[in-house]
Amino acid sequence: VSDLLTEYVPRVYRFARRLTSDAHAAEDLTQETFLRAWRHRARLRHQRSARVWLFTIAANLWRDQLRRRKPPAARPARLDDQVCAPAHPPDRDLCRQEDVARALDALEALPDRQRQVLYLNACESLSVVEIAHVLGITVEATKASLSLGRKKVQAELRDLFEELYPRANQKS
Amino acid sequence: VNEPHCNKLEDYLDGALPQSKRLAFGEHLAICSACAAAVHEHEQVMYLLRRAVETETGPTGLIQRIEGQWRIRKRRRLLWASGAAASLLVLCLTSWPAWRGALTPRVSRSIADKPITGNSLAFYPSRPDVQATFPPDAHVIAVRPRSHRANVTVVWVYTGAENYRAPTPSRKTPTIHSERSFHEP
Repeated sequence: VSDLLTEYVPRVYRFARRLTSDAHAAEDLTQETFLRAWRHRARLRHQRSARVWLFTIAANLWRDQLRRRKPPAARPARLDDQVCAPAHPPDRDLCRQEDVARALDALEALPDRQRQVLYLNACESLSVVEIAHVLGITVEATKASLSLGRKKVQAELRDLFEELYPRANQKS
Repeated sequence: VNEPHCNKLEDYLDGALPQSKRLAFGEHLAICSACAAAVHEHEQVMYLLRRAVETETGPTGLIQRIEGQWRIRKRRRLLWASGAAASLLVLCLTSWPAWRGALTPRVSRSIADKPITGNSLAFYPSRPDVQATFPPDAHVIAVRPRSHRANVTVVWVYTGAENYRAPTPSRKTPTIHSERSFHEP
């Protein structure tokens, strides 16, 4: 059980962050997700589908919460302290931290659906069919959101790639 | 984006191409610099996003809290199950005498409630817990089943006993008059 939780709690929490855009709401949602998962654990037939199953529970719970009440309006802080420490001298490592923080910002700036779809595709390597199942939308809507979100993030980070990977961008 | 393969770029990036078409698109990437650059940029963005979210490990102690909640639920479930089992057992034990009584043959009320006209059976003259009376012409037979308790006597009384054939001649007597005859030897 501990191994299961160690593997999936951080994943579900990250997805909950993408759903709620709020750290506290994400924590609550993660706990609720695992409580419901424990209650309905008999429905999980294959261990390999646990991730999609947990994401689906989290998304359903979040939809229920949205129906019941208004979601918290708070948006996440621009950068997590653990991601970027602005007091440090601007060395190469910090630049990388800043790159990571910029990517996170670009992801958070997307509309809800695009952010969730892009997160599941980019960070959890879920297929469009699995994403559609998790979020309860059609495959076509998933593809459209994924394409839009990807283009927006790429546009946001384009200058970064031109700086970091000049050779790769010279080709295009 | 004028080659037929280039149109599949989005599907390739989505991971929505079947394996055979994915391989074909991989060959196309070797000759199309535009698609190759787009794929390269996409991979860089994906890498950066993965790194970005990996830094989010969640609040400290979240795993332990969830594990604790699971344990509480498990314990509560066990308590509930054992409580239900205990209640069922108590219910069975308390209702057993009623069930036993329901299963035991009884004196027909239509006969037993009739006024005393004779042939009264006092099973316990000193402490008459049960007394049944029958009309003189009633077809009744009383059978004493085997009992392992010396101070308890059970008598089964059957009506309509004119066709009854007792297994042994000694138990054929339909009328029992004294208390002593009911006690176990």
